[in-house]
Amino acid sequence: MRTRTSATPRALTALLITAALGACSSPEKQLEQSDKKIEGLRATAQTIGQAWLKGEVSERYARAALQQTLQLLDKERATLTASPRLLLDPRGASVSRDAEHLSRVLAALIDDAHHGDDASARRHLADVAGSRGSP
Amino acid sequence: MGELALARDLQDKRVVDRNNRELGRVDRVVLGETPGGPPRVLAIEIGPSALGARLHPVVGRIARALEHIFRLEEGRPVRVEVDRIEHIQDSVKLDLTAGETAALAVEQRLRPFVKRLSGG
Amino acid sequence: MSAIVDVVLGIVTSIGGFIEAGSISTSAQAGAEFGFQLLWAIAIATVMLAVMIEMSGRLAAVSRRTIDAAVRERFGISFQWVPLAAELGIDTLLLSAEIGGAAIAVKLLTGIGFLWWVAPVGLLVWLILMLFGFSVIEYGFGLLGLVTLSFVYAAYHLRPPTHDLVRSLAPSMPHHDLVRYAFLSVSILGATVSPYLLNFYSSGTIEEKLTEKELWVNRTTAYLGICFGGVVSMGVLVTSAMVLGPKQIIVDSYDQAALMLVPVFHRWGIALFACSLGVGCLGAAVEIAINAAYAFSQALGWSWGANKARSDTARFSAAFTLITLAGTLIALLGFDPLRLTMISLALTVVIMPVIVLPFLALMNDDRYVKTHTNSAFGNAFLAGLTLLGALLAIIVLPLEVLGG
Repeated sequence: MRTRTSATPRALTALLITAALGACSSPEKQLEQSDKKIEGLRATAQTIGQAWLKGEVSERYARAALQQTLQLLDKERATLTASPRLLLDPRGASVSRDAEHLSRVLAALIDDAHHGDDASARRHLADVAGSRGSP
Repeated sequence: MGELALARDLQDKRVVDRNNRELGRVDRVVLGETPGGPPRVLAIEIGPSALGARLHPVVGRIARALEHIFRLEEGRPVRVEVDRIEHIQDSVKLDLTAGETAALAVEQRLRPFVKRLSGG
Repeated sequence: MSAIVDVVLGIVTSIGGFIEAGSISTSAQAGAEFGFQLLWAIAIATVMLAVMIEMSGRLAAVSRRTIDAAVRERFGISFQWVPLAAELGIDTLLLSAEIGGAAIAVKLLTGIGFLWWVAPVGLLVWLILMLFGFSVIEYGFGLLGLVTLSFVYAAYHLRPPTHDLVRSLAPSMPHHDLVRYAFLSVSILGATVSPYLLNFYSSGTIEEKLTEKELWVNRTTAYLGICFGGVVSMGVLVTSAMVLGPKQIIVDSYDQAALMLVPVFHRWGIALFACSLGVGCLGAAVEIAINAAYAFSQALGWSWGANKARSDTARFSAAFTLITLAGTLIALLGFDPLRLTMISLALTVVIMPVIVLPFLALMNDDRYVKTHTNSAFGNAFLAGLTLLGALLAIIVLPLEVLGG
C-alpha cells in the first residue's frame, strides 16, 4: 500500500527532473539568456570604449578587455548557431545577426585601440550603440 | 590503575620519541594472542603501509610497493613493542630515539633537496 | 600591550586578507545581476565564518591541536580520509583559480595574456612558502590587502540609497532568474566560508603560540576582523550594483568586473582593481597551499610549521610544493579562472557538512575544549546553515550547469 512518506521522495525527484529539463531545454529561455548576454557584452564594449576615449583606461587595458569581450561574444554566437531551432525562430535570427554585427564592430574597435585612432573609435562606438536590431 | 581505550587513547595518536621529536602517528595497533590467554596489545606500527592497510588492503599494498620502488621499505612500517611506550598522555611517548627507527626515513631522504632549495 | 597589538594587527590583516578571487567574482556578479538583493547572503556567510574562525582558534588554544590533528585522533583515519580527500581536491581547484586570478591581475596591468603569467605566479607562491615564516605570510598579505578598501571607498562615494542597503540585509525572493539567484547565494557562502580557512586559522593559532588565557584575543580578532572584512565584500557588491548593474553588464570576466572602479577612481580604477585582485589571490593561493601541507602533516603526524627551517620539515615542504605544482598545472590548462572559481565554490558548499559537522563534534567534546564548549544555539545555527547550504548547492549546481 502506498503511503504519503513513500510518495514524497518520488514527488521530489519528479520536481527536480522537471526543473532540470526545464532549465536546459526551453528555447525561449535560451534565447532570452543569449540576448541578455549579448546586450551585456554590447554595454561592456561601449563602457570600455568610452572610458578609453576619456583617458580613464589605458590603451593596453582597452585592447585586452575588448579582445576578451570578443571571445565571450564568439562563445555566445557558437551557442546560438549550435541550435538550428533557435536560428529558425525570427527572434533568434535577429539576435544572431546583432551578435555577428557586434562582433565585426568589436574587431574594428580593437584595431582602433591598437593604432590609437580616437576618431575611428568614436565612429565605431556609435555603431555599437546603433547595431541593436540592425538588418 | 588508569584504564585506556585502544581506539580513543592509543590509535591515531601522535607519537614522539624520548626527545619529544615527532615520529608520526599510531597508524595500527597490533594485538596478539598468547597461548591459553586473552589477546593483548603487542605493538604499535607507524608508517604509510600500516595506515594504508587499515583503509583497505589494496591501499596498503600500493603504499608498500611505493616504499619498495623508492627503497624505503627497510624497517618499515616501524614496529614498536608496547614495553617501549613510556607513557600515553597528549601524545604517545616512546622510550627510544628517532634514530633507532626508520620513522623519519622519508624526511631524511628529502632533507638535502629541501635544504638546497630553501638555502638552509 | 603586546596582546592589544596582536588584536589590532589581527583585525587589520583580517580586513585586508578577506578578499580573493571567490569573493570578488561572486560579489561582482551578484551586484551586476541582482543589485543589492544578495547583501544578506554576504552578511550571513560572514557571521558564519566569524563564528567558525573563533571556534577553530578556541580549539587550537585550549587543546593545543589543530582541527585536522584533532579529527584524526577523535574519529580515526577510516573517517578522516573522506573529508581530507574532499578538502584537498577542492583546495587544488581553488588554488588553480587563485593562481589564475593573480595571473589575470597582471594581465590587466600589462595587457599580456594571463596564461603567460600562470607559471611565474605559481613560482612566486612557492618561493614565498619556501622563504618566509608564518608572520610574513599572514600579516604581509593582510597589510598589502588593505588596498581592497578601495571597494569600500567606491561604494561610499557612489552614495547608494541607505534604505535599500538596509532592506537588502534581510533575505528576499528575486524578481527574475531564481536558479541563478540561488546559485549565486550558494557561491557567496562557498567564497566566504572556505573550509581551508578553518584549519589554516587553527594552525596559525598554534604557530603563534596563543594560549587558553588569550582566548579574548582570538574572539576579538575573529569577530571584529571577519565582520569588517565582510564589509569589503559588500563594498564590491554595492559598487558593482551601482556601476555595472544599470549598464546591464553581466560579469563573465575579470576584465568586465574591473570597470566598476573606473567611475570613482578614473585612470587609477583598473590599477586598483588589479592590485586588489592580485594581492587577494596571491595571498589566498599561499594560504591554500600551506594549509594543504598543514592538513597532510597534521593528519599523518609529520613535523610541520611555517616558522621552522624548511629542511627540518622536509615532508611538509614537499607537500606544499606538490600542491602548488598541481594548482599551477591545472591553471595552465587554460580554464577560464572566473568559471573555475564559481564551480569550485559551489562544490565547496556541497562538501561543507563533511568538514563542519566533525568540527562541531570536537567543539562539544570537553576532552578537547575543556569548559569552553559551544552553546546549543551556536551548534544549531552552524549545523542548520551548513546542511541547508549543502542541500541548496546539490539542487542548484546541476541546474546552473545545465541551464548555462
